[in-house]
Amino acid sequence: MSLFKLENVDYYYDNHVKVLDNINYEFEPSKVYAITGKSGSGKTTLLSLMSGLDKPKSGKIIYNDNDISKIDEDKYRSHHVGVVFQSFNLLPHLTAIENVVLSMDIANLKVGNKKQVALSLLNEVGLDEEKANRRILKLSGGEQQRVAIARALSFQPEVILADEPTGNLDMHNEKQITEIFRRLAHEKNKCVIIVTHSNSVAASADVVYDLEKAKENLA
Amino acid sequence: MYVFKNALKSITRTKSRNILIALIVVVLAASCCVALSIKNSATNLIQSYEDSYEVEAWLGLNRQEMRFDMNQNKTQGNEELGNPQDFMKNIAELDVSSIKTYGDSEYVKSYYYTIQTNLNGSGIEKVSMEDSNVKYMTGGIGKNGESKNVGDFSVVGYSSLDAMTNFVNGTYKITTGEMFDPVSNDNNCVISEELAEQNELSIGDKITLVNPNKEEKTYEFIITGIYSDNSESSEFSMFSNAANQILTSYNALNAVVENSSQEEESTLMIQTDARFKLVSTDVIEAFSKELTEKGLSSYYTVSTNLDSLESTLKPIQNLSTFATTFLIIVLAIGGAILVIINMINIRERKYEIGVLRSIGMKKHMVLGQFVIETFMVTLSGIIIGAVIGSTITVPVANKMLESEITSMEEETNEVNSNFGFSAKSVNMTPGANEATPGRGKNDIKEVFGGENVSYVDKLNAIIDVKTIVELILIGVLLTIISSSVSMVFISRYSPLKILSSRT
Repeated sequence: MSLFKLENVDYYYDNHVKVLDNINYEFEPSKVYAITGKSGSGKTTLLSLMSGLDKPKSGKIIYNDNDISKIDEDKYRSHHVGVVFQSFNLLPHLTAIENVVLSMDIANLKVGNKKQVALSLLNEVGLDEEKANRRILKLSGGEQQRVAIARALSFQPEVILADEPTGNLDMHNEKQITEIFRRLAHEKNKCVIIVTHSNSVAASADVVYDLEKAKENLA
Repeated sequence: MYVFKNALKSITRTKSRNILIALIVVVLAASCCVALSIKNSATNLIQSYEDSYEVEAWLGLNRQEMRFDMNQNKTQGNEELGNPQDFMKNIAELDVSSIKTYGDSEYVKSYYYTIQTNLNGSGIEKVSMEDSNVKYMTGGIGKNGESKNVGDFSVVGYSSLDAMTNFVNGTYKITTGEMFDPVSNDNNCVISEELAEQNELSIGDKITLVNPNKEEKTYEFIITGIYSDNSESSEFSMFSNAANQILTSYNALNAVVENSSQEEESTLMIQTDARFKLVSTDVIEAFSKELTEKGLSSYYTVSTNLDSLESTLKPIQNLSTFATTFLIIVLAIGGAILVIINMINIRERKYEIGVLRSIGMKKHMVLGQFVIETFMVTLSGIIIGAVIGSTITVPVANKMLESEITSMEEETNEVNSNFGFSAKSVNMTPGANEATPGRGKNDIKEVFGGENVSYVDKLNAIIDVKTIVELILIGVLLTIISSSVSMVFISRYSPLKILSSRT
């Protein structure tokens, strides 16, 4: 049974050039999905629609049988989908732990010691305590990406959306991050949806949706 | 709660930005604190002066209007008002019974009156007028127009001690003996040191006064006290030197006047004066209206000593106006600066807003965090500014007041010099005269403030509860003004737009 579903999703910008045309995808828990395509094929736009940051011009995005355009978009992002942005989108004046704790606070998560929970999440993605207490700008790109993943996991969402999560990373880090996503899907039953143009990341996914092919099929 | 925590973290970790804002608020708050405490203290001082000020009203004959009406009457051949003597008679006489009627009013706290007449002496010589270079008349016109003799001594009868203003303000002082009982019917009196010396009179001596219109009518008075005149230059009337004044009770002098009235030829010319202490400055108009309703002739005008109060408070009022204007300007400029700084600030923090919104923080929570930050920085600035302001308020206020008084005194001296008066040449007695057709030497000095106007020259400008509440309100106002930019920005832009514009 699908957890996440795109039904006839269309999207175009103000110049009316269609970016997404009649997209129909389904996503299930415990799987890693890769959405691929060339630059400009609409990968990031699709992720923005799925994370509720934007709305499709037509069609529906269904999460747990609910049309996400009908539910509170802030609550949807803070409670149900964890988003890992390409440029991480972390707050530089806070430490890694504080970024994760803030996300828990926004989700109004009731856990005993939020700092401890945040630290264990950061440990899971490969950051030790010393690095967890550093401010964001004192971490490398790969480390920042791990913080972003930990933050996305902080409120225990069912869906993880990741936009080019390895786009700014070297091969070594790419491999490690990909492994984290696989673990999340296979061990923690998350539905992980990765937007990527990396063949190796796509190869590690359980299901690949190619936006180019979708366009060709439609043509 | 997390919003508050986050706001605190944001303040402590972006120090330079917040210190800049706090510094501006400190300057603003210190300026506002000085202006507010000056304004409030001045208002309180003015109020307390007005509350404690004894407003005195007196009745004066408007001779200019009378003359005008008499001339009109003559020119138009209108016989209704008759000849000048009849015309004078038609004007209700200001006698003690009318004064008592006027004084019986809800607007009057207390009142007193004096009568004054002129008598000759028997066995006593008047003090020579030559020394004081005052020429005086030896005769006069009676109320009915007939020629009258004017006595050598001005005898004044007082209804109460309050009426003896020269003793109250210290111009006269009893040096030997004591004051007579003002409500007594006994023929007791006090005389000046000069008169006593000239005639070798002392306490307990009897003096005999003679009706100037009929020498057979004499009146004996016992001296109970001798006073010194401490005024710089002697007070004088058209008829006598101040040294030739004999002061007694109203009852005693009234008995003399009544006795003299038994025969028309011996009737004395008397002048009655009354002072009404009003309950407040607000009732002057109502009191004046009431007097007209009680039958006071329209030729009488009600004058008050309010000019003196206004002169005293003028520097303070000017200071208060200046403080208010300064406060408005500071707030306008300060508010504008804060809005501009916040606009720059928001542009710098656009990314932060985008991130917070993209991870699901609600608009009002983001706004709440920004408002809390602004308020905390503003409040710290206001507290520091208030401390600085409170230490500089008193010296600043008194310096400004001093400069205001100096400027007013310079203005007054310039006006006096235009009239050819030296600053100290004439002893001013504000409001002592009845209404006259034009303003005299003393009046000019009174209008522009003479040497006797004692300005309020110290302002105890302290930060009271009212000032603190107003400062906090200003802080809230500044927070709202400066947060308005954040409000507009946060409500207008979507997180996607903010983040995509950055990348």
